[in-house]
Amino acid sequence: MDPVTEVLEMFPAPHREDLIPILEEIQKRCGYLTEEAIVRTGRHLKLPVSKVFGIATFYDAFTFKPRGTFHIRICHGSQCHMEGAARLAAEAEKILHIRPGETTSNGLFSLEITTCLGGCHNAPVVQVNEDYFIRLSPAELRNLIKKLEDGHQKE
Amino acid sequence: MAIRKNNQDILQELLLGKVSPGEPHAQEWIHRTLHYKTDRPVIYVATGTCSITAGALKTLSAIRQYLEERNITALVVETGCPGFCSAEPLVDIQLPGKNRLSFREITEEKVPFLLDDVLHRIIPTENLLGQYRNPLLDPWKDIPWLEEHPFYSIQRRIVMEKAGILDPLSLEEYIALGGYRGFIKTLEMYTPAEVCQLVEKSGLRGRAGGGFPVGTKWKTALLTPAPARYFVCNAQESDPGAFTDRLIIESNPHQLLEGLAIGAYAAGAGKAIVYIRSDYTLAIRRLQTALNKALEAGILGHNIFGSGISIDIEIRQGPGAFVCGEETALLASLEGKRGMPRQKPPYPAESGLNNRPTIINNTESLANIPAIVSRGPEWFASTGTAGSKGTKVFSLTGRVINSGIVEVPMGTTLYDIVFKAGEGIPGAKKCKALHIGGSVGYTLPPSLFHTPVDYEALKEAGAAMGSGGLLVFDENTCLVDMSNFFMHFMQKQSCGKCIPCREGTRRISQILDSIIRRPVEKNGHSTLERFKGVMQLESISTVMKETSLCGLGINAPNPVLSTLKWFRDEFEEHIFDRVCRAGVCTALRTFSIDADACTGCALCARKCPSNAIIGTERNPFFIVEDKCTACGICYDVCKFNAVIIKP
Repeated sequence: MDPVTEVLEMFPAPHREDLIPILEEIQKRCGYLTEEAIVRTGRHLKLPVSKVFGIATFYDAFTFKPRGTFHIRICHGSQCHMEGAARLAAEAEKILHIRPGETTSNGLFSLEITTCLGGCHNAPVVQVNEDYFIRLSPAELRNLIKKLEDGHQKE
Repeated sequence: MAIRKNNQDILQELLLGKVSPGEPHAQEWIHRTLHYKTDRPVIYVATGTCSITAGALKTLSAIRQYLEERNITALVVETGCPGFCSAEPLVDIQLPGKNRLSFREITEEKVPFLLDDVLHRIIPTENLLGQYRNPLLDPWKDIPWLEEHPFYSIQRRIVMEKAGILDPLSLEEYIALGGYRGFIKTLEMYTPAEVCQLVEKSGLRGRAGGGFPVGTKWKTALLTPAPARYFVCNAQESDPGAFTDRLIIESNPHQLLEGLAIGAYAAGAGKAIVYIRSDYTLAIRRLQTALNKALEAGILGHNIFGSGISIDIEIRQGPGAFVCGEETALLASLEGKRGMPRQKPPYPAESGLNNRPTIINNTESLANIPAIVSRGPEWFASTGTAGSKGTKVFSLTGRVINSGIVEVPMGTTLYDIVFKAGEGIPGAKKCKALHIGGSVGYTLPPSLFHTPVDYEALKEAGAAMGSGGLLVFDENTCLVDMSNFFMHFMQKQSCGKCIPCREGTRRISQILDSIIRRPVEKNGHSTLERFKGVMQLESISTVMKETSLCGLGINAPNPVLSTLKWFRDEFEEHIFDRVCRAGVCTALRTFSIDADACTGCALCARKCPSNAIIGTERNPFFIVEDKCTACGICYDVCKFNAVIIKP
């Protein structure tokens, strides 16, 4: 069974307040929200698709594009900002040729700017999938991305 | 199985007060559960999110590998972070019969050296923080006490009391330390109205910023007739640089659950919801595990210990919108709508979720409740000042030596937090300002550092307690840049429902952007425009403050206004002199090449995107200031440090 059907079947008699948990569960299983998933959620809840889409885009956590093999999250909290997170973000955008929230055309990298990853003392913090990289300079970030790319090609 | 049954029995007997903790078999169980009585070494590793960023998981696997390779039997326990984030990864070791020792910054490569020494009873002074005080165990000679460490010495811990000491996932350890007894006592001894009164008497005020008395709020909901009531814990903390809620949940989830259960009982709510930011994966996981264990033990859930009282707790993930920290927006999000605030009154305590009375309390407020109930309101009220009782948890970050979570009694001055617990500014620099309250907070000058932490005193100083973020700025921080950062954050987070907030945050961001941008024309008009912008800053802010719908819009101009009030000269420098004295605003820098150091390699000239660097190879190069866009690439690429930046 496809994941969207599975999730929708978890809520046989859905109320409006189940909307966000449903979308969260779909995103958890599929990695992102497809157009089809939004349409079907709307039908299941008897809500206009525009409403579902409006709610999904309102919240930061929902994405509408598949994430890359390496999902890069750059922390832009207050301390990371003081230690130069904006330069890191600019560097990443320049190297990967994508804007935050987008995925590279080869599907390898996606970029996200987030508010606080919780490693303030080790600012600036970058998270790639489950790994954390701390106190990075733009040059180190460049090397990191290069290393990830090379490592992936070898595989 | 027999042991497990026994375990459950003692748990219940302790909770229901059938056995006093002093009785031999109960005491035996407590000491064993807390590893006081053990024949093997116990190694505690802090694994909160902050610890993991510092590499605690690598340390943990290095410890496990070390023990396995050498065939040593020892118990490895994962704890939450005790709040000392800058000392992460933290490792505590307790040898049989001896006091627990705490070590800082144990990265994976330090593990073998540390364990080699400590397991042979040699205590290395390097990386040592101190020993815990425990009357039941033998103290180490000539080893400082942990509580006397500058970071801990001014702290008084109620909310964070057990953080970092116990295994957050162990229900037994929490109960052995006295947990859930306050809740059971409440169910047995007090009516809901009496609990409200008790909390009111303690003087506990909401820690989320407003400072509304918690007990009074509960009473309002209790006295509003309704077929059902709800109780919501607000753990939607998305403020940059504030992570107190996350740490409270990660380090001791049971304490929050207990506070929430007491609150739900007092407000007459059968259903309680924890609304937590979905980014906090570890906190959610730990809270869910803790909840499952409490349900399994029958402490929460249906008909608790046969009392006829049921409290159903649900964990709901907030899909990340800063505005959902506002109570009515949070409720809208719970109802499956966009997280947009609505007009108040009616207040949620009268009409909230599904139009039923709903109490919304912050995580920190609720984590105070178990201690108030079990030790009494008088005990709680003995800490703090006349109008503000108890303690306040701050997340101390920025340019400060010791950073992390600090819990101080109300009345402690900001100076003490930064210079005693924080041990001052690294690199012998001066502290330029403090920013209290996160992205909707206030920047305070050194003259106000002696303000005590107290709702009224902070208000008098023109600030507010806010989310509990305390950010330290040294002289290398540009305050204009920081206000710009906060305003851009608010602009992104504004929900867009009311115009003053939606347009005001955008306009202020534009004005601040123009201040830190390089002038486009040199005939002086741009300076005038910028100056007009600053004049407008104040009037836009006033309009926003007076007409915005919710706290987000009302407080969004705070960082800019307070910076403008106390550090006007810094704004003026940026506008008129086009200088950023901290050297942060990159667009205002001017670059030149030191002719003596330049070897004429022409690397910078090739890299310059605006062709502003000219010269011939093997001779010193030269930067044409008119063409320079101050991108800084030449500075980054120069291998001979020949490019000089003037701030």
